[in-house]
Amino acid sequence: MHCDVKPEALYRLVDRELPPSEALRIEGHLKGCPKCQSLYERLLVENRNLIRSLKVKPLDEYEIRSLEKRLLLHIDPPCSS
Amino acid sequence: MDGDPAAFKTLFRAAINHVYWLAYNIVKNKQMAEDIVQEVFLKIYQMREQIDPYRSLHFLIMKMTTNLAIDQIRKTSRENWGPYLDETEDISDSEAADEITLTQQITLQQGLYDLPVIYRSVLLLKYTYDFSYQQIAEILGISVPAVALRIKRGKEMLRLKLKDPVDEKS
Repeated sequence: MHCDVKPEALYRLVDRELPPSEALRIEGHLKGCPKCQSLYERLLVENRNLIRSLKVKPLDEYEIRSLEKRLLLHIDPPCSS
Repeated sequence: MDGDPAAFKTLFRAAINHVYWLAYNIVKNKQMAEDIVQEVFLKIYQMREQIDPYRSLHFLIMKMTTNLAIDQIRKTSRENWGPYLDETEDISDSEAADEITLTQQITLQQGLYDLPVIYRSVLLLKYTYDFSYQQIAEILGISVPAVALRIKRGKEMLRLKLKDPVDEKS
């Protein structure tokens, strides 16, 4: 099968950044192109891994209070803590 | 918010983790990240009368945080500003990562931490905060194709690091 899909389009597809008509066209193409299908699946896994690994790590309450206290010193009128 | 101290404190509590995490991962320095937190919330407080209630405050705060953090890096020249790779260079598809273990997640976080800021910032904005390419372009003042390219290049660099996590730079 002739493959005219650039990898960049697959990156955009997994990031939900393609216009709907283009996304549909490429999703159709994937069914007949094992090479693109394979890359697409690996990119999906990679996105999941990135989302899982780059989650916000919350500060602890002491750190939050410390930052809050420092900020409130500069607010006029002062906010009571 | 309208100058209501309680509302401002509520906003601070709701946003502090996001602001600190983004700032810290861009500047890679605790003290600088805390200074950015201070500056972002002071600016928000000072401009509270001008904030458009119909626009996303979260987006505004993340935009301010990103740009203040990148400005800090520019001012202090704490790292090589330029890209690792020529952006016109054609890179063949390297293998994307398989599902990863907790250890590999830590390696991935460290890999991100070591990327040049132009890649680190787009990956954080996309995969931590789920901003669209258009929103990231607006935050960073670059084009949407440039965002797409930085995401692709950033991922390619991270893959290299995951395959060789103990790679020692000379």
